[in-house]
Amino acid sequence: MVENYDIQLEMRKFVAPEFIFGIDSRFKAASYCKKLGARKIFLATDSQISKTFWFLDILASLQTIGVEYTLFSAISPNPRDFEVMAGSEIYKQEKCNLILAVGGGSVIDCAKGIGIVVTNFQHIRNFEGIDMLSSPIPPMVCVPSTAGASSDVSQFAIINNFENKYKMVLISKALVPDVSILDPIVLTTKDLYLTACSGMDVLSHAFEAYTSNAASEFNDLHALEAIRLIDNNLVLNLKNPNNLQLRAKMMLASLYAGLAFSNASLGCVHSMSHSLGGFLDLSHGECNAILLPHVVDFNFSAATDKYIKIAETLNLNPSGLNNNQIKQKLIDYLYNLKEAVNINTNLKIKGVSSDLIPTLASNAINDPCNATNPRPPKKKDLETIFTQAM
Amino acid sequence: MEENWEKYKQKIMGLGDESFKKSYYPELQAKIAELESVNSNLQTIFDSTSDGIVIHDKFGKILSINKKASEMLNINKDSVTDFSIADFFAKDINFSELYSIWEEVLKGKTFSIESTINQNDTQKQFFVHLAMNRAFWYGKDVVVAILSDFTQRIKYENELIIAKSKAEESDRLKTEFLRNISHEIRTPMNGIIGFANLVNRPDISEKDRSNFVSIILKSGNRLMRIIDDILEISKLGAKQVGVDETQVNIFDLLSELYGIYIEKAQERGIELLLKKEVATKKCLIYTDRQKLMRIINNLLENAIRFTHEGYVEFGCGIKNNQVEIYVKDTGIGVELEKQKIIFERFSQAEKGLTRKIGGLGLGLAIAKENALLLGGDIRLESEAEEGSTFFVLLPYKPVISQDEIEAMKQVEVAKKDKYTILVVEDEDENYFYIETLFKIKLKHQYQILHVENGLEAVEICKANPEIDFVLMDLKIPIIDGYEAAEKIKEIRPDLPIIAQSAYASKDNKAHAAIAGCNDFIAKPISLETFSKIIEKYLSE
Repeated sequence: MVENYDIQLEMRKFVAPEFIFGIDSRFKAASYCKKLGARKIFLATDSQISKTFWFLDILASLQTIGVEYTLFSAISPNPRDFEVMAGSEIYKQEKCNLILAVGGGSVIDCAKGIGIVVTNFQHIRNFEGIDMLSSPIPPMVCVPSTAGASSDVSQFAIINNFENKYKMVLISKALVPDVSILDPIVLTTKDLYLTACSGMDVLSHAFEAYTSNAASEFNDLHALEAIRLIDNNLVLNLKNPNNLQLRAKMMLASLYAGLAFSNASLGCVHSMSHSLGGFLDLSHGECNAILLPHVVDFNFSAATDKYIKIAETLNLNPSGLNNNQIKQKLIDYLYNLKEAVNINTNLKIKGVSSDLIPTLASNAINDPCNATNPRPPKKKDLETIFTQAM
Repeated sequence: MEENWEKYKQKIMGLGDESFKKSYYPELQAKIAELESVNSNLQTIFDSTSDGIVIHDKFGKILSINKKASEMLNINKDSVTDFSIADFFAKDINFSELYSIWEEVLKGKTFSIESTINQNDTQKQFFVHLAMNRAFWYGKDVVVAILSDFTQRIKYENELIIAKSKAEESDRLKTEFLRNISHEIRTPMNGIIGFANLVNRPDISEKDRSNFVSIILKSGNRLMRIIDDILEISKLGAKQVGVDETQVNIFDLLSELYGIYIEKAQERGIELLLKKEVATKKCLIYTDRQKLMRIINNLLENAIRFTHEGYVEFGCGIKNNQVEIYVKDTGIGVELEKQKIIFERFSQAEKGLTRKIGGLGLGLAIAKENALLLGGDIRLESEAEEGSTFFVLLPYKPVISQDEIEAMKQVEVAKKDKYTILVVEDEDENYFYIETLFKIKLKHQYQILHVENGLEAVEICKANPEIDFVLMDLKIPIIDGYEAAEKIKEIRPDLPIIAQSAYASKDNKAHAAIAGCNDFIAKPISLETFSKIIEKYLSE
């Protein structure tokens, strides 16, 4: 059968770390560290994760293999610049030479920040933006625990500029970790609300990467598969949190979405979500879940074909419908899903008042994620979306 | 912000050159290159130190060495691991001590020892300062040893010790010499001053007075000799003496000395023998007559002085292209351990001897230095109480060629076996001297007729046509030498007449020539001059 569509011929590249996917792959973390030349490991995590059984498994395997490590767990959600600086001091003091990050997006982003500081010798704030690093970070191995942020495969690091209350976006190919170890077992200790938020984060990654103006055939492949997996499994997973198949599928969705957005980048959902997270310290996944339908509404006209393809993937049967109907079907789907996963909130509930909107929009318009949004936004557009999401 | 979005998008996609530098690989390559150059820099420093550096594992097995150590130990850098530190220590080292030091070093102490090490495969030894300390090398505890070679320093130290003891010995000898010199100078001075005080006293006899004067003269001469010796040794020491080579007939020189020393020997009741082992013409060499004379003088003087009974024999020969003059005595001899130092300045084999026999102990030193100046040396064979033989060795620089020597032998055979010689001399002593000269020069090949005045001389010439040669003193009774010569020439115009006189003025010489004398020699007649005359008139 002759294919009846053309593929994209504009030049694109795809960067991805080595990754291991599967049950009990966490035990591989220690030997990967050793393989990468670890003399002393900077083990970054957070206080919650450090109490899980599977984290102890990782520690045990490090001891078995006989590599020293220094534990650093003073990392909060929406990791802060001063946490990065504190961690880098410890890294230097302890003469570490490799980073093992075990945790969600916050832990991995903070660990990336520490990596930047220890090899570039300046304050983390000096590296905000794209390609600001002059030296690569130390070897880095990740064991992601949320199936959401996918920082473990991406070239992104998001660090909270605590003083100025906004999230700095740091983008560089050098921030792609060396190895990501994806063990579905680690997801079993996640609570349901976090599972829901992470799932919505993955979905927004996939939506934004797919509709990105820097998208490519291989990103599209991953993005659409991620959308399909979320659609088929997120709600089920919340009902059966101990089903390893469902956990693994969420993890795979996160991986695919991560590979897609790492290379195609994101859009306004993220620029605005970063602004909210920085200013009000809100949950990233929650913000994304709230913002996504409004951004689809804003972008639909600029990437209609892509959105139709998403609608097809979501089995929304767009054929025969006009664009507005399709758009509405998509927005409805997103509202329904948000409700189905029990994210029953909006920006007002989260503490956003209309007087904050100009500030939030000002911060958001400076975010590099806007660069790949299919419809180039103006600050005013972002204000409008914020207002709609109240 | 908005206007930069396209640029941002391009950067995120990472297709520009910018994103390449974010890869590890260029960084790694740079790091590797940097490490390689750091390593090569360190290696350069490691290899350019003047000390040897040897890195051992904790059992003493060598892991690595630098260039200097490779040279010192004579081991190839590639084969270092075949060796251990213990392989290089001298066999007599205290290994248990070394072991305990090693243990301490492994505990972290730094140790420095001095030791001798043997080079691999050679006999060469080094004195080294060995500093050892523990270090970390490729993840292992090692001992780093720094080897500083102080062989050269030890050599200098030894040389200094020798030089110091030499200087001390020389100082001691000088002190001894000063003591001797004051004694030596004082003795003749006592004689001079003492007798000079007495000589004018009216109450002494003529005989005593003349005795005193002769003692004063003798003492004066002795003092002069002492002073000459001192001057000469100081000139020799300061290397201010040059060599003046002329044609010298060694045998004639020895004969002359024989003439001088025979009397002394007889006084001491010992025999003086002169032996000739070489043809006369072969004895004609180039050398410094005065210096050679000085050398043999010294040796003869010593030999006679130190011989109480028996004989002193001297002579010359030519061996291995060297002239060998020997002076042999049956005297007190020189002990083996003293044989070297007697040639040093101010030394005498027995310090006590000085008192008994006198002398400054400079003679042999002067002789030796003169011999060295002439390109030769002096050698001694002796045993205490058995006598000594001194050999003076000189480079043989003959005046005539070997062919001439051969030709000469033929001529000698054809020569007359016996000459008749007329000596006109009125003083007995002078006659005795002349007779001795003939004896030395012509051995038994002569017959001497002796007359004491001019008249007799003319008469004897008339009566004896076999006379071959006349030696005519000019100042003789009845008719003087000039007139006698004139008369003899009237009878025998071809008979060689040689005038001899203590008054060798130009006028005298001219007068003698007019009278018909063939030659003129001044008194005292040296053997050399005498020999020349004899050879000129008799050998032809």
